[in-house]
Amino acid sequence: MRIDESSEQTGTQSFNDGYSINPGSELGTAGFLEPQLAIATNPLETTLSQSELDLRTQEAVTEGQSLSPIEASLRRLGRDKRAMVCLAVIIFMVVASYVFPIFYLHMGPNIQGGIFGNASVPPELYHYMQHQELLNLDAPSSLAHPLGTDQLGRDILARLMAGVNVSIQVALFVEIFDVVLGLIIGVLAGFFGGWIDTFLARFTDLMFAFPTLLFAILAAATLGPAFVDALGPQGRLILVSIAIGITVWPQMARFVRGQTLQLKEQQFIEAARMSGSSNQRIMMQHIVPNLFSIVVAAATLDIVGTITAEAAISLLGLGVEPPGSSLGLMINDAAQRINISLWEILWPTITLSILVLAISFLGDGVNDAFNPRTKD
Amino acid sequence: MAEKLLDVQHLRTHFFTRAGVVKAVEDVSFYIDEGETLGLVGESGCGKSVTSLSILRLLESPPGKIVGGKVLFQGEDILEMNREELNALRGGRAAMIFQDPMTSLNPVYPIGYQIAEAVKAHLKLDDKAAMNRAVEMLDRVRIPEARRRLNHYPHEFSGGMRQRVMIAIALSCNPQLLIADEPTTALDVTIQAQVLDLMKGLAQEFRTATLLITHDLGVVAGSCDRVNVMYAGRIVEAAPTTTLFAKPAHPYTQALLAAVPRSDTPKGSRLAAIGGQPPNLINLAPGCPFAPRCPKAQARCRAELPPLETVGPNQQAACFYPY
Amino acid sequence: MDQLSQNLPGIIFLLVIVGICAFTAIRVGVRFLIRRLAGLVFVLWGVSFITFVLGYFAPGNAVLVNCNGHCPRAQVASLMHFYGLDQGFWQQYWHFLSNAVRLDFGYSYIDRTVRVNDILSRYVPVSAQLGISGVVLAVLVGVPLGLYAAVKANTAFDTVAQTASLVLFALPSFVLIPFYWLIMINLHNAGLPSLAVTGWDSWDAMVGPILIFGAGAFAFFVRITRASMLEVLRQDYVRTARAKGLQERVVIWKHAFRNALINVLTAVGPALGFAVGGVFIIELLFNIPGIGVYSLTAIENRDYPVVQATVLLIAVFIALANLLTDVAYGIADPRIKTQ
Repeated sequence: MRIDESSEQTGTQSFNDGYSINPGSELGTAGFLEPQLAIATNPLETTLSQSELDLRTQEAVTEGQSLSPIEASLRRLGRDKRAMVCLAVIIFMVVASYVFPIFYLHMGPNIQGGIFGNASVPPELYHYMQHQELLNLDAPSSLAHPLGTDQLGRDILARLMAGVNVSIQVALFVEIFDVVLGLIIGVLAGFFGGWIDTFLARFTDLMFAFPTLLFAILAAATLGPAFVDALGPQGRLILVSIAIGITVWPQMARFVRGQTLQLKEQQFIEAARMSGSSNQRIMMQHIVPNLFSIVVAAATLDIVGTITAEAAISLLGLGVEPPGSSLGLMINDAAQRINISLWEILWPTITLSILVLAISFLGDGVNDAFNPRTKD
Repeated sequence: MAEKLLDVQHLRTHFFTRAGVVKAVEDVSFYIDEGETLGLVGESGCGKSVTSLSILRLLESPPGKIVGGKVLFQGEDILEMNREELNALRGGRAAMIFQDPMTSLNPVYPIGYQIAEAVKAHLKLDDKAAMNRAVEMLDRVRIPEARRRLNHYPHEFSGGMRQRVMIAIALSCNPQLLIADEPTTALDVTIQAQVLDLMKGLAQEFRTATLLITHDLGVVAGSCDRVNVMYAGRIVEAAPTTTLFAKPAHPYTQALLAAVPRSDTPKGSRLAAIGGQPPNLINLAPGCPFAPRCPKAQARCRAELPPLETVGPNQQAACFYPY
Repeated sequence: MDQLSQNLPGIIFLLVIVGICAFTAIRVGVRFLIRRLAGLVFVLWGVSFITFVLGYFAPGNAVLVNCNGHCPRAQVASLMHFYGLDQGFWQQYWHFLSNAVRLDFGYSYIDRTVRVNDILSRYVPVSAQLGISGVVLAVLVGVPLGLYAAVKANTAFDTVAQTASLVLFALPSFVLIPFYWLIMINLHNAGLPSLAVTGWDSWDAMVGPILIFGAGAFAFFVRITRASMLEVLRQDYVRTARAKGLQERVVIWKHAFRNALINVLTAVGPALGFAVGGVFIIELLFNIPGIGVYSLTAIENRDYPVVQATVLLIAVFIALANLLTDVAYGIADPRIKTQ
């Protein structure tokens, strides 16, 4: 029996290709993408009736026929107000967390501080995220410390920005890993089948049993010390990023594989083959460009899982280690002190929430714009 | 004349979409007498399926909505019925068969259950009697070994067999009206004739009136007493089948007929295609919707909408310049 | 008797497996079963191999943990021998694998008199209680809510359910917990009735962790149920059911939901995997004495047998849940049976 290759993407799996039937979504990372979920967010799409389909063509005409599919998708995305607002928020947070610290170090008055409380401390010092003002612990917000200080007298805003930097770096690293590996293995598995396909299927099955967090915890617990010895304080973070990447890419590869299988059956591929194009050329020229939509949508949603996974692992004390900063670490530090200063925990929590929600909503919008559901 | 079984008056069904309001069915009126077969013909997208779904109020809403008109079934307006009355009508007095038998049966229930379900709902039979009725119906639609196949699932049947099951479901409660929406379009050509003959035969046996929706004039010629031709959401011509084939009044009907290969077409001559595209149903220009494609169109056709008027004995057409 | 009680988990485990197999073979067919079981064996082997290899190459072994590097040479040798660490890689692996098959994970590196199994049986029940209540609650509330949202598509209710589930799905538990604390502490300070913010010893302490543990899975089930229902409600066979004159209740439950359920079922396994990570964080932040927190301590102490056993346990649990999901899918969808 065949449940039709296209169902690959929807998560219901063909039963005879050696995969488990589960959508296998590492839900923490990419489960979102499943179009079943995605369609649910666009009320107009879900109630498409057959007769409305005829309109699709007309809509395409009004959108201008000369647009490439990617341009059309981008234009659709541009019209999605919620997604655009989220994009603005994300860009703001990214730019601010990298650029603002430079100015922040020179902003603010000199304060009375130091170990004995009688030295004059310039903002260059107390706005450095590792600097401790030991006589000014858990301070509420003030001119010098807009968001107050933490339990070691460190400036919370400075640590927040450093934490966001970590989130973004990990997300970027994992996404590059995810997209490169997912794309290569997914295309090869879809295009050639054979042992690569079997390998992908087996590896995916294996990774089903290792949720991202569990695998990252295991890796950080066992190999963490060795990585720290070899690579310095950043070693743990690199290890955790690799571990997240290893659990995330099979999902991407599966999406890519499913799409490649569909594309392979298309007539333009047949035509290219007839006209003597090599396999390599067909893949690079005809298949990979057509995977853009699905890869972009999956990657955007993977970022959410990656950022939360990093925060979670740092929170558990297995990722970023003090004096480094991470949103997860800040949450855990502050969680020990909710009875003393509850508000301290709210800054990293709110920052992480905004970051994660903005990317989620953007990812949702990207999915709607790039994979508009058409009834077959 | 006795009361009409089904009398559709000025039916209007619109789709409210992002791109605008699609007037899929606009001012459509027709009737069916007891026991007769009416064909509803037109290109895909002309509104014939929407018409059939509107009759039993099976349109998905939103975006589809019946915005006007009446659908009188034995004098009662279906559009005014409450839920219970509607449920009693659907599948009971009026049944429907759909285009795609591959997707019209529920994949998770055996076919026997799916037939018995309708029987139980309308004929108030117990489980055993309903199953016996299901076997009887499967026999009637000539599915071999009916009793054994009762517990088979839809995916274990071919397309033609599934459409037979659909017919069995539709006719299981002795409906007075059968609406068949392109019942053979999705089937292989060889199977089409079998299924069509079966449906025709059973409809006669059960004395069921049939509304046969199709784009295939050949199907109409073989099965229908009268024919209505639809174009761009409106009925453009209504006539008895023989009249329509012998003396089509509307240029659109003429073009349709010219596009059908016939045995008396001279060898080597080309079939006439209808030039141009069906109109966009969102922004219909004033005047006759067929005017842009019509070889006989005059200035008046582009300015004024021609009403459906009697042009000959039993023959009506919406054209200023018929024949 | 003593031996029986010691092997009880293993016996129950075996009985469950045999039961599942027999049921599957009858309902879905032997070939299906064999393929699934082969897959399961492979996954279990892979998981145990990865776990072993990572533990093998982890720096700091039992000896260092036990005596902080100050043991006499003879004691080191005896400890190494006790934990089998003086053997070669393959011997150690064989030892690990054959013991793991018998669900025996040896002794803790911290204390050679404490069996890992005893630690597990002390801490796992708490975690299981938290996890199972959370997921069951998520399914029991999430699925009906998603169903209702689909039936009421595009109404205000639907929009709220949609947005709420998207937010809950995106936000990790450690973001929800501070908000929960904020509410409870403010209620408490205002003299209003409130729930405890840490611990696991009273029902009011359990409410928060369970709700927060279930939140993500709940949101997931709302979304997947709604999406599957909408997909199914558009299907021709639902129209057929309506055309038969069946009552709307029958159309929704018997025809639509029964089909949507197939999709929802496939999501249960992955949803469990997704939820499982939350155990560590929730136990840590709520100070719950479960296996999550214990294994974090074990990681700190480099007590690898405990870490390996925990990871294996979770992975096996997820693999089994996936298998069960497959089987349920095979039963729910008659198209699978006769391929």
